[in-house]
Amino acid sequence: MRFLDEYGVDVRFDEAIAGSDGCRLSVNMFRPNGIRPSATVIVWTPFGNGRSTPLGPSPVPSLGSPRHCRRLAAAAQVTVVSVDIRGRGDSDGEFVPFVHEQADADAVVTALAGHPWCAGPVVVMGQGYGAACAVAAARNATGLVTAAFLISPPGGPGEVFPGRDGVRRADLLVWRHLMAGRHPLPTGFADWAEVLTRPWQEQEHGLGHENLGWADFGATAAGLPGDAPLPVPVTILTGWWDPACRPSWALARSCPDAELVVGPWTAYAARHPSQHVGGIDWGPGSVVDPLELQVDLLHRASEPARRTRVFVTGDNAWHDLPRTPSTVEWTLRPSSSRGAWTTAGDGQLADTAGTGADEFTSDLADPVPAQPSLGQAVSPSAPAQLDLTFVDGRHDVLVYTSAPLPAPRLVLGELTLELDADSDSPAEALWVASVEDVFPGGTASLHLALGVAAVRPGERKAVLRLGPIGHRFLPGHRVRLRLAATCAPLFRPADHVPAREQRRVHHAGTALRLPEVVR
Amino acid sequence: MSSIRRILWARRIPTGDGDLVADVVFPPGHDETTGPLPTLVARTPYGRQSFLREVWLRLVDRGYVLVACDLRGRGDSDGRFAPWQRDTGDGVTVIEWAAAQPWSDGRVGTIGGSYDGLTQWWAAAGRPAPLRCIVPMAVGVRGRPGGRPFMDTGIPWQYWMWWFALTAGRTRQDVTAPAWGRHWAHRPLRTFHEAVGFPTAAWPDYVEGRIDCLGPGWRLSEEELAAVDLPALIVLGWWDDLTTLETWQALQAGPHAANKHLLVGAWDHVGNIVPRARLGGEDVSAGSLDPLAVVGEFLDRHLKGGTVPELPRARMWHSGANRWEDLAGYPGGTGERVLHLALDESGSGVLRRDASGPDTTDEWLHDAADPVATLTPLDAFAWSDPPHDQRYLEARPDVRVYTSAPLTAPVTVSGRGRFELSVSADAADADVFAWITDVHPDGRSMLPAGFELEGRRLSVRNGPRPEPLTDGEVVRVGVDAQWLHHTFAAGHRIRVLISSAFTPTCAPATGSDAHWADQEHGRPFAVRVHHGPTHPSTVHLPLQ
Repeated sequence: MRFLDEYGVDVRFDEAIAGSDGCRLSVNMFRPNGIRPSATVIVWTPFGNGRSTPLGPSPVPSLGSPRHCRRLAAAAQVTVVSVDIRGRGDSDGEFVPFVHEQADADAVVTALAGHPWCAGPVVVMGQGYGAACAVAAARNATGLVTAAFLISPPGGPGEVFPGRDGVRRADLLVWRHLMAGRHPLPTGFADWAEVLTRPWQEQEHGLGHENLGWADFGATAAGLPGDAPLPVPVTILTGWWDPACRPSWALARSCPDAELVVGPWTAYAARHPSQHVGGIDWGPGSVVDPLELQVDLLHRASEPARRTRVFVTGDNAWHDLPRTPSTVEWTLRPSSSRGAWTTAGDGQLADTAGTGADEFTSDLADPVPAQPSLGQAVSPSAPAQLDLTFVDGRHDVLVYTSAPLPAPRLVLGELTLELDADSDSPAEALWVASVEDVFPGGTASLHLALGVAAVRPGERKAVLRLGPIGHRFLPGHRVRLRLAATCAPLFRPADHVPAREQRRVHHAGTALRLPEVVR
Repeated sequence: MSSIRRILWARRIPTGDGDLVADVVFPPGHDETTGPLPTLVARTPYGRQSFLREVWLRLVDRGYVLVACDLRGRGDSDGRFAPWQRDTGDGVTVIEWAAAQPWSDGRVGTIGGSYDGLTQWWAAAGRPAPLRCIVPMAVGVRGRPGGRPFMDTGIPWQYWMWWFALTAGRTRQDVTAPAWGRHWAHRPLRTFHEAVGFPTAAWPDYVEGRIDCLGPGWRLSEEELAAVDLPALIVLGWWDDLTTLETWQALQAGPHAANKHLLVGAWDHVGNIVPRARLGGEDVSAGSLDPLAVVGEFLDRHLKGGTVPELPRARMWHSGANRWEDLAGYPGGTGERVLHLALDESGSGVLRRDASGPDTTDEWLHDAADPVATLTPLDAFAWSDPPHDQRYLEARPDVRVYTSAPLTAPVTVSGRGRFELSVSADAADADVFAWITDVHPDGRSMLPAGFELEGRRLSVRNGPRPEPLTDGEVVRVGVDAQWLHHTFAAGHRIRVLISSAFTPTCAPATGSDAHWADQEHGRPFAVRVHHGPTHPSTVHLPLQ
């Protein structure tokens, strides 16, 4: 019989906490045995706080899982409480995304502050959806919460949920399915390629659900807490290829006392560290164990945040940055003479503007793929591909590439694309832009940023926010901009869009702006 | 044909008192607009998605629609879970709902093991009209006649707290999270659930006797069992819940025995779904097969009809002889061999066929703070795999060993053995456990069957009313041995092990006559087994 008690942590599972309207919420509690805890950590999780396995293979347990809570309680000598949000795991009630979280978060913090297992300052934590709950608690329960630790906070509506900049995320159907009961539903049974290419109104039925709330998903997202400043010290963890990178960046900028860590990670890798991300080995130094950051935050709860740490791709090294790096605008403008279709075209990016335009035909039945396969859309732990050469040969993608750079250039901050373009569609026109670093020889590229916008019929101008990057373009490398009308299954096509439409990009009014760090 | 299976997620089944929630799975090439097909129903407290594992979906692919339903208060179903409380009404509702759907041809069979087998028995007791057959695996529902608590042994099981922890709340809990080791010695056991960290678990109901394994909420009466006229396939492993075989015994003796079938192989509790090749350090691969393939044949015969051949009455792995046998019935024992426990001249325990010899006594010190403990890891309790070779237990001074001479001819035991023991203790109460092993010529002392072993609390030796022991009183107790279908080969020896504790499954006795859940560990005390003409101790083996 094994008696090893490797953590020395007492647990209390399925403790009842009253939600905002008296609904019974369930929490699991972890307390170091025989020691008065120095603080209380509250973690929100929508995946079931009693789950016995992490979501996917990882040496690091998911935030809020029993393994994580036990490790954190032992490592920091604090009480850790993981909360099943309403209608998930062991909590009563019905899960309606974003609707109850603000009020429930306040109620949970207030109730736990008086619990006999809880002592010391309250620190709130969460990742993804759970981070939104933690943000809600930190913003409102000001007198009780003293710090926050967030992985991939999703920001307000239009950042991650229900989509980006007015364009709905089609792939969030997978997330909604996963969240359609108290247990995460398995995603391996559906023919996602078939389901996700149906008209969105038919997708619920195609998936086998009676009512997933898919039509109301956009409306309920109004309950997201957004990126208004938090009044407490906060540590934010995100990755360059995390859809929540942009709101994380914005939240860190808005908070008076924020530590921001941005690594070479996808959303999954930000939660489950790995040095191999996107098909690239970023080196052992790229790996950060979130637990270490959590313990660090707890040990310096009353001290101000120290820095922004970003892993600069290109350098492949961590940099400590000033809160507001000094940058100047580096503008690149597209042009072409023969046409910018495929990488075999002559689309160029340069300091001077072209005067012509490039046209292409977008076919709704054959959209531009976001990734070579559906893996990433269906499972966050599936490998991502950061080399976009798989769309090189498509005639519905315009490609503009700069000349090889004579000297290194460090870009740090949010990219924007001013777009002047039109469509013959009577419906809204989606425009998707991506920026890459093309390696010498042109056979490999590194995807850096993605932006999307919906342009109303009859309008031509749009500004696409491509989010932040931290990247050094090395000598001999080139900057590439790709423009397309679709990105499947990431973004949902506009309603009533015709099967085929003609698109045109006007060079003179189009400009890519990159914040370059001044030496 | 596409391997994609159509699943209708989270269908709500109204009961008049909240909804039950089920997923509906169609075989490849079918959906809710095709069919109708015969239908399988599984009802579980472990999360209905547990039936979406590939092993179960193989049954779906034979041409069935599967309705996998969360029990009341579990997963997404409404209400509160009442463990070990018969939910016949819910079972009937789900079966009738399934049969009434346009994709169902109205013929329903039920599947599942352990608690998911229990829910089949409970549903069958309601005699829902669409139910055509059941496959309750690895669970017993026949009450025992003695009227004592805890499966008529009088010995409470600490194991159940682990199960109550697993099923606390609404979803399956991570039972590896608590520090079981540190808390297993917690006393008094009345607050064990608090100490180990599951305040909402059903442990107090067990402590207070409101629920019990094979208790009133769990068991079917003899009349109810006899009335089950449905075809049933009982599946079991030898290192598993052997109370299942008492249920089988009742079915076989009942008026509808002809449509009851038994499959027993060399596997453990989880092995009923996918057997392991090695178990307890022993290669058992020859005694394993694909149980769900047999289940599929049974379902095909009773839900699809046609020409599918009938299964044999009992398909058994004959351990020791190491072969599968199709039998007309089990147990097949007609004779009995009585072996007497004794001490030889050197003081070693022996088993003898003759009853002559002097009166002798075997004494050991029982310490509830250091009880006999199997190598069962606490955080994986029901799925753990302790060694079959019992020598690590025999090395303890509080495990007494009685061994026969090497057999000159094979001895085949078919049925359930029984011990009649003369025991005394220097305390108001004590437990006695006894079990049988097969000693190989190389010295290995192998457990031929059994995972949880049975014993008897001495104070309830005569019935449910406690009678504390008085000074030095020698009492006679009957203890059930394992069910076996086993041949002790020539050159092997039969061995009996006797102890006063069997943890971590059972809570060790403390010598006190107070309520078991209020006791502290107490001081060590002596326990004795007596042998000889005055106070004989014997083991009775049913011979084939």
